[in-house]
Amino acid sequence: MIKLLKCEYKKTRRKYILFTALLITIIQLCWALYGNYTEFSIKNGWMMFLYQLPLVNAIFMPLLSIIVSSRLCDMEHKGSMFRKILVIAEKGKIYDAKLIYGFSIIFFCNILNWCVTIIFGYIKGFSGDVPIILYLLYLLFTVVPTFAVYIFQHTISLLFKNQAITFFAGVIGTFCGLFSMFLPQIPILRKSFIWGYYGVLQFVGLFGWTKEERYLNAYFEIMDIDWIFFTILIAICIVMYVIGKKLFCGKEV
Amino acid sequence: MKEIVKTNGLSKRYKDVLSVNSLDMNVKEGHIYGFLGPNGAGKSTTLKMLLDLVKPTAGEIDIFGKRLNSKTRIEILANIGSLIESPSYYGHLTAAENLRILQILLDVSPSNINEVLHIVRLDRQHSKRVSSYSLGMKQRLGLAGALLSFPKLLILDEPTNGLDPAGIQEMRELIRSLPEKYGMTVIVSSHLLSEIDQMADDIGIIANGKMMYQGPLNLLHETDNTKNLEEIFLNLTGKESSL
Amino acid sequence: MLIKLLKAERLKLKRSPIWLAFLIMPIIPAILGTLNYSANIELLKSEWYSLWTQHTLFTCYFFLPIMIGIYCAYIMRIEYNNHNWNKVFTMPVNRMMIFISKLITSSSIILISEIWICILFIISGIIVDIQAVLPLKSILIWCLFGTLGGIVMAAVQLTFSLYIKSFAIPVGIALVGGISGLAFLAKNFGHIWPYSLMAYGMNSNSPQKIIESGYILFMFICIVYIIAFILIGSFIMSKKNI
Repeated sequence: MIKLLKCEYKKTRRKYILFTALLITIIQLCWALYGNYTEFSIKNGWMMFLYQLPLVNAIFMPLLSIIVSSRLCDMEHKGSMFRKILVIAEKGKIYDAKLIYGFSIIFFCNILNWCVTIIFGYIKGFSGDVPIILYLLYLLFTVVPTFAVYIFQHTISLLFKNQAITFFAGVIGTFCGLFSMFLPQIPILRKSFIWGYYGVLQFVGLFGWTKEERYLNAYFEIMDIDWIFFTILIAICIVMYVIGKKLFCGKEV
Repeated sequence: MKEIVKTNGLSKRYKDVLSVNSLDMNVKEGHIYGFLGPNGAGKSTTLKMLLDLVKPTAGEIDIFGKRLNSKTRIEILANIGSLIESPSYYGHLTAAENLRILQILLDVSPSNINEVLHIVRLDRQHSKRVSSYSLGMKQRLGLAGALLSFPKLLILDEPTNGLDPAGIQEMRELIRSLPEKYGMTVIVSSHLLSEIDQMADDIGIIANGKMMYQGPLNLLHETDNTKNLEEIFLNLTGKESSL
Repeated sequence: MLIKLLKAERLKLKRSPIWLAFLIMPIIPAILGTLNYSANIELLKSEWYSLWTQHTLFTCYFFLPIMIGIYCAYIMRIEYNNHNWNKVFTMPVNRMMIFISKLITSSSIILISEIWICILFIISGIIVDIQAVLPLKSILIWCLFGTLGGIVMAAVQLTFSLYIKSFAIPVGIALVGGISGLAFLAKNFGHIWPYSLMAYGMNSNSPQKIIESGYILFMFICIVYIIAFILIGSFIMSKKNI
């Protein structure tokens, strides 16, 4: 397995995958952190981030996953390399190696994103210390949905030679997930797409905001965490992994 | 006899490597010109320059008596059919659909499609997607595309790649028949000497980007006293590399 | 020559149903945007205009740019696959025309999706029973301008996809481009940044709105960009060594 991972690393030289991923992460950070920081937002900064950032993640993380997974698999399709490597290694192991390699890149971007966000909060002078437990939860609730999305993208990138299909599937999914976040009235909607789980697992809410008074009486509050659906999400990951691997192994090259 | 292709001091430099070195090539009308050389000698680059796919760094090219440049390229290309390197094809389309695209762009009669499919013996498989074809079938499709407009000049780069022995024999006979049947001039490259020996009227031997010999095939046999082209070839190309 | 090329382009896209994505994609904001509109009806007072924002907001910043990026990457990709540039460039056609034919092909899909967005919008307006008169003229102009801005984006993306052989990287650029479009709009430079023009033209509640006196200027800028990128793209194509 270590050999296969090394192999993946060697294959991606001069492909700028990490570079592209970092670039997208930087853009995401710029977009997420840029804004007018009023007195209200400085005072409630830490909570505000926990409230706002899942939305940004719901846009960027799936797109990042599409690009990284497609880039990793496309180079094999292009040179018909699957025929060659499948002679050398087991199909299942290749599936795993690529998954681990690709997701490590995404995971690294996630961590980087998380750290920069916290550092930024300190620089801006948000009141109080960072609520580290909540932030660790937030990290967990970002990484796990992203992992689910990544398995999905990874599998279809491997299955379809035409990468336009994987891109469109991913973009449409992202779109559904994003919109489901704007419809908290219909909670089943976000729970039925893996892309919606950034919203399902959002645990800070904004209350007391009105159109007239705006933030005058507004406050953030921690809501109940939907552990049941977190468990379901993990189950979905496992199921997708098993099915994906099976499909890839059953595919004739 | 009229010269269809004439190059003068044709050169191509890639950074520090001179892959084609002031090549003078003369191809006579109605002849089959065998372009011979080991792998990496500059055959493909030369042929690509004739097709304006690669821009020469020095020298001129005259085709059909016209200087090849941005003004004349369309007019010249309209009369050339080509098969360069591996065959080009859209994998999700069938052979007939692939040829249909070329037929539209070349502005020739749609009936040519069936005709060339018949010539290369793909008429039975023309409704299968090309991605499922074997390499040999793709090569045949590539040749069909090159023949589609029944051009005055046909440029074939290693056309027997991927064909089985029977296919190679068939391809050879087909190429042999083209000048007579359709009045075509053919440039065919190869690194296989035996192949050229049985097809060509004239040959050009290239090694390390330089033309080592050019002239009628039979003359080469006579001057060198050896009946074996292979020996001559190794002699010519070997001399260069030891320099 | 152009007609021939367009016919050929259309044939090349046969059996690759990626245009379907352009039909499916607008349905999502149409359904969810309409639901959101009905849920927040007491907040969203401007009737048709509020509904329009709900329908198009994310579409023009993220999803349409990415879709355009994918489409452009795809139509360049099929030429990079299996040595097709070899064949295309030995056809007796002008290389600039090849670029233009690809631009027209992608423009038509943009136009189709804009019309589709428009139809879905009107249908959902009727479903939620908006009482006010439909501002049909404005909507049509926005869709038209959206198309024009989309063509600018397609010209840029085609140039990137021609220059960069990879499939994913130009799409990544489209994503970044779409977001940069939002940023430029926020800074009131939306009328001159190629990735903002579509959102600006579609008037999707962006910080910067197009006003009637700006119509001519908008069209002028779009056309300048389109011509500029046709020239750049053709230049790259003409310098291409296979």
